[in-house]
Amino acid sequence: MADGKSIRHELRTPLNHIIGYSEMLMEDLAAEGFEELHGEFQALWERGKRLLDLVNRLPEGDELQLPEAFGDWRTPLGELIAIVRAVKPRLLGQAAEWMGDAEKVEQAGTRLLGLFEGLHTTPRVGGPAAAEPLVAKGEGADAGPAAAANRTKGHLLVVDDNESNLDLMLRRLTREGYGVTITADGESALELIEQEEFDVVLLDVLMPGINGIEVLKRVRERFSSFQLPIIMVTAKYGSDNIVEALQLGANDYVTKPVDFPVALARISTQLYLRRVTRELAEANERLHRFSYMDGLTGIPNRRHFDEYLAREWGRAQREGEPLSLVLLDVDYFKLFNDNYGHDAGDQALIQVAQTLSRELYRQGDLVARYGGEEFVVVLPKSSAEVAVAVAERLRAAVAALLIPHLHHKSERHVTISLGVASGMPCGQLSAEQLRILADQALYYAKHQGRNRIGCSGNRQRDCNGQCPGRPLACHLEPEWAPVLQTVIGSAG
Amino acid sequence: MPKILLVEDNEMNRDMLSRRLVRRGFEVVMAVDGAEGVAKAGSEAPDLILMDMSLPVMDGWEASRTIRANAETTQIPMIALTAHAMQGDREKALAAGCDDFDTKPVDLTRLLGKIAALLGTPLEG
Repeated sequence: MADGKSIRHELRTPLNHIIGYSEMLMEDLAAEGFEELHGEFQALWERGKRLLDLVNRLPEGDELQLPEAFGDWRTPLGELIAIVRAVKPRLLGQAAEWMGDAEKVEQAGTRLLGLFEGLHTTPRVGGPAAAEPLVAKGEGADAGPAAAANRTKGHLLVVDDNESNLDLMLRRLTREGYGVTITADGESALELIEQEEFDVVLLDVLMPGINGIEVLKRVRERFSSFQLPIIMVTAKYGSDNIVEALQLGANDYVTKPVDFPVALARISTQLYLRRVTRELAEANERLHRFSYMDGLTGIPNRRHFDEYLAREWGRAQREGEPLSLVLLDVDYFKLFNDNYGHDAGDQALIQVAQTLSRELYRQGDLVARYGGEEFVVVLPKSSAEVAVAVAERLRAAVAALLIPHLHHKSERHVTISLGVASGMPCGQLSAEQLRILADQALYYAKHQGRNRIGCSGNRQRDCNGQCPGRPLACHLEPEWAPVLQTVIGSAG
Repeated sequence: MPKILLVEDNEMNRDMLSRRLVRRGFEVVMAVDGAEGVAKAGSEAPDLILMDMSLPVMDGWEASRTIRANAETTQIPMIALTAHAMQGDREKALAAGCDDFDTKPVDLTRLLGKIAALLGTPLEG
């Protein structure tokens, strides 16, 4: 491997192409009104910039210590290649004149992948561990395509009606360390795909019986291009077949006579992309989970609540069931924070959140942190009476924590006030109105002296001011009645 | 229509930059190495030269010095393009006779600004 300076130069050249062509395509596509495609190239451009940033951060000097000098190039590069491959069929469909430029971006991406891979598999020059191959060392989660293929010995299916082609592929691919299954016709290929798990399929286009395009179509009904990558083997470059195959979800193609190193590179790229895509999907899943969770308390957050309420409100509407909300708030929390510090405040919020979660054991009930020291509980299929009972349980449980709060105006420990609102979803009552009612009920509970429950909604029928055994559940003043009348009236 | 001589050995870089410049109303002539760059600086009489510094046959530094040393071409404004802002590259480029300096990948808006400044024309679009 050459010295650091020329490595940097080698890496920058394809990056210049990626960034330059993406930028040019962005200009062109925006000018022609292809907004969505423009976005795709913007994404490519961003990945290119990120990679360039990595390369530019490499220390100057003639000797480069690899791979320590690199940060994470695999994620942006894997994404880049995946994006450009995904956008190609769309370009073909909508804006085919830019296909050539998109292919240049793809080529540059593949070239870059090869360069990075080369750096990682070539022993360092003059370094202390010069003899140690980096692939073997990087046996962990982040080895590149070549390494991944060798490690997993990916299982390939080769479909070709020509026996000598099959034999050749079988022998050469096996020698490369792949597990290989071969078959001579489309029917049996489909059967094999049903029965066994393959990592990549090499599929001849021209076959008697069911041809490759038809096989591709049927496979794509069951497996996405990331679940089962398919590389088409076609006789002629530039034929309609290629276009059709790409549009139907082929991942890539090689032309006959098969240039074996090219085919190998494409196979290993597909394996790599599939793995990267899986990892991305998992990472997204994790992010998705986190984005619905409150960072401090670990319970659902406001966003989760909003979506959950909308969903449950819809369900309640369809099923004609009542739904209740309990909005609650830690009493004199500002005084708590001011006197015991924010760390203590955070600890108190965590304890309260855990207690609320623990006290809700019916399936479908949800407690979320609404913001600051406010929490909200969704109680599907619950009348106001049930909701008041739950609210009282929550109130008592938090009070029973006996978290000292000597600056509380009436108690010596942390307490909560709660506002309950119940309703039947109908045209006149929206989820948002219900939330406002709960808020008003909470305000009322605060006003009445805190550490208690305010209630609104279906007042006459379900909690008509008696609520025996729940002395701390108080009810709304008559001046609230106009608001409530509407609700009660419309709730029928 | 101002004529720009683009001296760049990489085909894709040439393709990219020339297309974008043409679209903005420049006439672009190209050279693929330093020696051709020097020759075309004389024969094409461009209004401005964009000179990649890492060129085969004769590198950009040498080509720039040669163009500056020639009485016919000494007045042509030159912008050096280098792969990365290495320390001292700017000084080196100015010492080689370039009027300005930019890094690749080219930020087109910035480069157009420099071109316009050197040509003494208002920036279009």
